[in-house]
Amino acid sequence: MNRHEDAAEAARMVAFAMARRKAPARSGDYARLVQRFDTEPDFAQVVRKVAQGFDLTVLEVHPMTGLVLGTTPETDFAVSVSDLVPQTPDRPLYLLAQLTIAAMVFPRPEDLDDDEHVGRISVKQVDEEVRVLASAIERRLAQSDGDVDPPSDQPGLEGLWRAYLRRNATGKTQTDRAPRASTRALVKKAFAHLESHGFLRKVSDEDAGTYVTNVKYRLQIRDQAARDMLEELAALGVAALPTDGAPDHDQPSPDDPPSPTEDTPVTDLFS
Amino acid sequence: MIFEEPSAIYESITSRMRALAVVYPVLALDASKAKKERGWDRYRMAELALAAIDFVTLRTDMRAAVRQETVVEHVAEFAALQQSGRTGEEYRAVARWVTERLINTEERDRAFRHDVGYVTDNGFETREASFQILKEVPDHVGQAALIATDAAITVLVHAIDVDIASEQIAAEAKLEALLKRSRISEAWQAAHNARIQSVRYAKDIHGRIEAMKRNVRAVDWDTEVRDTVDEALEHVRSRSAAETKHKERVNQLLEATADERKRRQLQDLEALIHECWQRHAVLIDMLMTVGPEFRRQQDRQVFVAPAIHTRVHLHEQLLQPVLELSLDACLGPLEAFTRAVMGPVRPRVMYLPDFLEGLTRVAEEAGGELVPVQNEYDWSEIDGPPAFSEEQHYAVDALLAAITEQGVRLSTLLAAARQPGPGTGPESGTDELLTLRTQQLFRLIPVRQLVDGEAAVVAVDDGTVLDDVLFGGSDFLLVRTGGVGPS
Repeated sequence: MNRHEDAAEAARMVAFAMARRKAPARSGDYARLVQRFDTEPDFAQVVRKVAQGFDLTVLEVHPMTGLVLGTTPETDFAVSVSDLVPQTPDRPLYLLAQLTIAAMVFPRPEDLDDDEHVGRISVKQVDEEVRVLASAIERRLAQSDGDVDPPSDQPGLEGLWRAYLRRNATGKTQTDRAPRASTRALVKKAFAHLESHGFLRKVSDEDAGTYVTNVKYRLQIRDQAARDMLEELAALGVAALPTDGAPDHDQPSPDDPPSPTEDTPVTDLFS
Repeated sequence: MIFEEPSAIYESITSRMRALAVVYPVLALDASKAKKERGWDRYRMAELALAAIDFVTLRTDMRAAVRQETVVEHVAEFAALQQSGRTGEEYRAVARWVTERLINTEERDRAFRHDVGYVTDNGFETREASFQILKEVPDHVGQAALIATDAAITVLVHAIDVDIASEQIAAEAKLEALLKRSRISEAWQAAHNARIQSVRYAKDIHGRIEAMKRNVRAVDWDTEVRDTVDEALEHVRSRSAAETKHKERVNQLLEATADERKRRQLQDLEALIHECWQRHAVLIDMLMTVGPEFRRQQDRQVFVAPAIHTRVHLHEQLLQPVLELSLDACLGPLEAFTRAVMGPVRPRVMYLPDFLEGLTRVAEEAGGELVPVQNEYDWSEIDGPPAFSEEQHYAVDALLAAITEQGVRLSTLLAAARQPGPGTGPESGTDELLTLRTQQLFRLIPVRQLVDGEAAVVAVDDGTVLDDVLFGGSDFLLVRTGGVGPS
């Protein structure tokens, strides 16, 4: 195969990765490209370069889901959060629901590495979990007298936990006439988006909708989302609590260099 | 001294206890509080659980994925069998409950636990044995599907701690003996057992190959893999040969049997054997390709640089800290997360199909339950009395049926309808029905009957005006015609 054909094949592989519901097991063509990627380093490099041209990155190639692509800040191919949630006041709560879903289906860091892990989660559970966590913060701040209301002219300084608690879980109240979605509705919306992008599958209507995870969801979080968010938090100076896992490689603290044993890269192949 | 080799003697107790432990969660379903609370007392939950395990086991072939919804639908049928007269909604709710109890969705790690005693070099000790019954795993495209675990299949076939390959040979030997003696209904049971054994064996060998693939670096191809594959191939090939023989025997019996019931049993039997044979054919295929596949995996190890990623505790490192941020500050990190989770998407270029999709999509915000689009109005479901009685219809039918080829005026018929009689009379309103029927005959000429040469009544408007106290318009001439067909 010559260089031009390789380029066409590499572009085709990227196109497969961008299309929904495509998997190597469903398409012989895709399976062949995955095999080429695995066995021909040159071809793999062309695929990476094609992705780079779209301002995307190759996160990994997985036998079940195929090519897994990540977005870069420059790319035009990422979802726009304002498209997902047009209402500005709903946005932080919706995004919090997205993170909580992930945190609940992958309770331990090793769950993200488990090839057989299938998470199961419902709309009700997610909403209740955020309320429990937020209430715990409320109690703790009340005890330490740290609970101060935000200045009324700066609503943006209100804590996320408080904004979530203030919003109704289900129905509307008589007094609240503003067209605000309940937190349940926002959680439901997050689930619906994940399902339509092929990351979750609904198994029943129990608990306002019960879902199970697809492998692709796990890979996208493990390979990119968790790290991206950790970096943002680090940039804000929010100390990320150390865990028994390896610390973040991209954020080595100059005055506290990570020990070499902690820095062991985690590999995902066949483990 | 009874206990010369205590550990050896106790081993059998331990292994049987481990198997019996699996029965416990199944039986516990019927003692569950939830069962009583929901008013499901009369369902036999353990039996529904076996139906679910059966279904998943027999549907789990190497590639097929069994979704929870499919299992629920199947088990709901058994629930309906146990308790007739309840709603489909309840059957599905019961089935879903049983299925999810078997997956053990209430436990975070989904495992059932039971204490089992062991005798080791250090003496007696109890350990917690954990097991699963139905398990959710990703299928070949990475979507969640259900499989029955080995523990569950053990419960199902009451085979405790045996060599699967030998068990399969035994099942087939029994089938062969029964077939020889033409004991057909017993042979069916034996074939059923052989089928489950074939599923078990396929699962076992598949699992072993998968495990080797996972440890591709550690496994030595020349000894371990090749031996396993060769042994499996030999076993499966001889099973295939035996099944071909059984099928021939069943066909011979089928030719010699006239009894309908026996014939049906034989046909069922053949279908069962054929299914095993197919499963083995797939297995042979898989075993033949496992060598090259294994080599490919080993190559992959050489070429693919191991992926490096940060290990993050989502709950502690992301969720907890972000909750305490202000609304302004939290947006950056949270948006970064969701953008990365969603990955790249195709840019939104509107093509015609996109418009269609956009227009037909139900808005997510639309609250409330969806209701089915109303059916076309079914006139038979109208409440309220009909305008005309049966008797009146009979009367008008009789009048129309009496029309001859000479024809008759509507005015004459109206007069007849106003004569007192069954269904007729001056104030009966039958005259109105008659005018309606006449209008119908004028508008809808019975073309089909006429073309076929059948006789039919038609209404002809020859310009004569109707002179009547109630009705106006033309005084139609109603004529029976012989049609225009080849009569």
